[in-house]
Amino acid sequence: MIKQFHIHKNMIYLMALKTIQMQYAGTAGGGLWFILNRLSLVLVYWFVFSVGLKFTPGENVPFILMFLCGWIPWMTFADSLSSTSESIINNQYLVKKTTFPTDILPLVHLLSNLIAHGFMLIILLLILIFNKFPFSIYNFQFLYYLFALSIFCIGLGWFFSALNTLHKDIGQGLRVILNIWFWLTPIVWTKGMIPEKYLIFIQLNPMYYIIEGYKYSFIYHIPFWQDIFLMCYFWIVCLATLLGGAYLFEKLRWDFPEVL
Amino acid sequence: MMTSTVISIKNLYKKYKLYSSRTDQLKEALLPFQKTCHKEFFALKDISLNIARGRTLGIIGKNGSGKSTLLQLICSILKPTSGSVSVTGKISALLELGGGFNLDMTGRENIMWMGLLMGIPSNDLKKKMPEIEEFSELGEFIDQPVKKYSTGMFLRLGFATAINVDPDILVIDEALSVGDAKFQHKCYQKFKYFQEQGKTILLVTHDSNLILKHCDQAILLDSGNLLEIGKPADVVNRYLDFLEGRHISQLPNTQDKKVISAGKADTENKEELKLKNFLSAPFQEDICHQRNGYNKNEYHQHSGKGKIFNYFLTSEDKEDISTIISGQTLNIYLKIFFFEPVSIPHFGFTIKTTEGIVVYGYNTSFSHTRFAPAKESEVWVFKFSQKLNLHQGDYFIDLGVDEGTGFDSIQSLDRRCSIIHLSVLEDKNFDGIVDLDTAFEKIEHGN
Repeated sequence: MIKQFHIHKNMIYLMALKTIQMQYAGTAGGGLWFILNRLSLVLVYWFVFSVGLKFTPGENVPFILMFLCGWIPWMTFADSLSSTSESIINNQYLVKKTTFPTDILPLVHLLSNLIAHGFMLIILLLILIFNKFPFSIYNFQFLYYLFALSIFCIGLGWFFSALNTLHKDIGQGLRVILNIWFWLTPIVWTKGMIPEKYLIFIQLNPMYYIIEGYKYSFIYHIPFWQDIFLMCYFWIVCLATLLGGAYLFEKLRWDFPEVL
Repeated sequence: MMTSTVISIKNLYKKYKLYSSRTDQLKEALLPFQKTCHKEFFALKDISLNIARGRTLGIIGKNGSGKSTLLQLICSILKPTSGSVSVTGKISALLELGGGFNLDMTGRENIMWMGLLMGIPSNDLKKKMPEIEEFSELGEFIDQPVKKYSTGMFLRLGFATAINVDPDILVIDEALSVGDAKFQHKCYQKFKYFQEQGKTILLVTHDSNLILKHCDQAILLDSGNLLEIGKPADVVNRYLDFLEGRHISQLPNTQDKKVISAGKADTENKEELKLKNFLSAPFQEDICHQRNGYNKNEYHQHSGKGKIFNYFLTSEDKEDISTIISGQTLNIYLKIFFFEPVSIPHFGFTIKTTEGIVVYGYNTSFSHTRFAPAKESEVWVFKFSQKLNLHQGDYFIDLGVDEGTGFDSIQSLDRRCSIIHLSVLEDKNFDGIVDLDTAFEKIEHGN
């Protein structure tokens, strides 16, 4: 399957580009809506939690920074996962009438969401500079965490896209799961707010590792090999998801043209 | 190399699982030891077929006979349940109008897209773009999103792309009929070019004439079985018989073998006796529907004085036919029963195209022929012989009996409009409906 990614790299690139274009095609604002959409969400969270609720995560770090470090990878994860899960149904014209390599779809949707990721990272950097955070070589560490996120995303993407094609309730269920998952992940809150004895359960969440990793990179400047135990746990879960997703997808892919 | 096999299909079965609900299907996918909860449906049963390079293979069969499933298996969109399909070379398929197009992309982007799907480097495709654009005749629509296209434009874009990506095997499913005549002509010319290049073409269609015209081999599918493989004319004949509802033996199956062969011998005997039987049989109720080529949608109009209760068609070499080769002589036998005495009986027939255009009609009253009066309860047999110089295609024949009621005027006794459906096959090349047998020569002239 990884080979497929290489063979079809042009197709992945073209499809990802088209997916982005399609989202705002036909609007006069175009890319402007894209920016406004993201900014408004950030502003709302900032206003409600920082200004309204006087919410401070402690450690002398502004809420908005903590929030963005969690929110940016989370949005990439949630958006690409939910669009991937619909992707085979939405592309049935390809599945039924051509020999389209459906296994590239998770990567396509991941890539199309990376533009937003990059854009939000720029905003994060601007706020960092505004808050006089020093630049650090650890900032580049986010690339490692982004890679980890991508692998996790692709594995789950195969899993959910295959199942959702067979049964549309899976997609609806996924939305519910993502809603709950959001609040189980240290995005709006921080790990400092959790009593020590519950922390271990919170850490079972693979997204915990990713999001803390972004905070390590941009706020704490802690190297990623610091937390070797959690790292091992994450990669075991992640690779299991990847292999499980690939296995299920491979098993069900020949049913796609028949059920659609 | 010229005779090498490009598509080789061995004992191919395709089973569809029919689930009563989506949940059942999910259960089966996720729980490995769940007992199966689906019904099975075989779309293809034990198909074995070799297609040689350079062949143009026609695939015919009724709706739901498995044609499209076969193509999807050849294009490896579906996976065989058992058996194997192996294909050598690059396939370019036009499986459905607009199939594979992204509606939001422009025509040009879709061409690039199809190219990517078939693994063609984008540089090569860019070079071919002007050629594709020109062939499709889309003009400035090529830069519009394809969702704004008409059906014909879809076809143009699809076909232009499919043939210009330099495939080894071209697969066309039913698509060409929506194109206008000019574009269709262009497509078929491209077929010829492909044939000359030694490329393989698979053509699925309901139009038997297309098979006769363009293919050099054909197969007939019915409910998943490969009924016949052979010369287009033979296969098409069998298909037409089949459509008319004549009994065709199923694929030989060890259990039924005896029954089938016995049945066959029976029909052969019948064949010989058929015309004799027809001529000697006494009056009985209307048995036209037992004839080949009988059209059950005929329009029947009768007066009660006389009735056409049977007919029989023969060509120069065959009896009880529903197809004839253009240029042969068609004999039409009518059997008429007179309920009341008729002083001046007349007989007539009309040949019409499927659109209802009268090609030719004749009535014995036109020549003022006077037959002896028909008495009550008499059975008459009447024969027309007609050389059929018609273009290939489907025709309907009306039969009629009239009574002369004075000089040049007749009254209808029995009219059976479109009672016979006749297919004319294989003809010389000419335009129009009737071959008027053109003569030509070059007249020498000096300088």
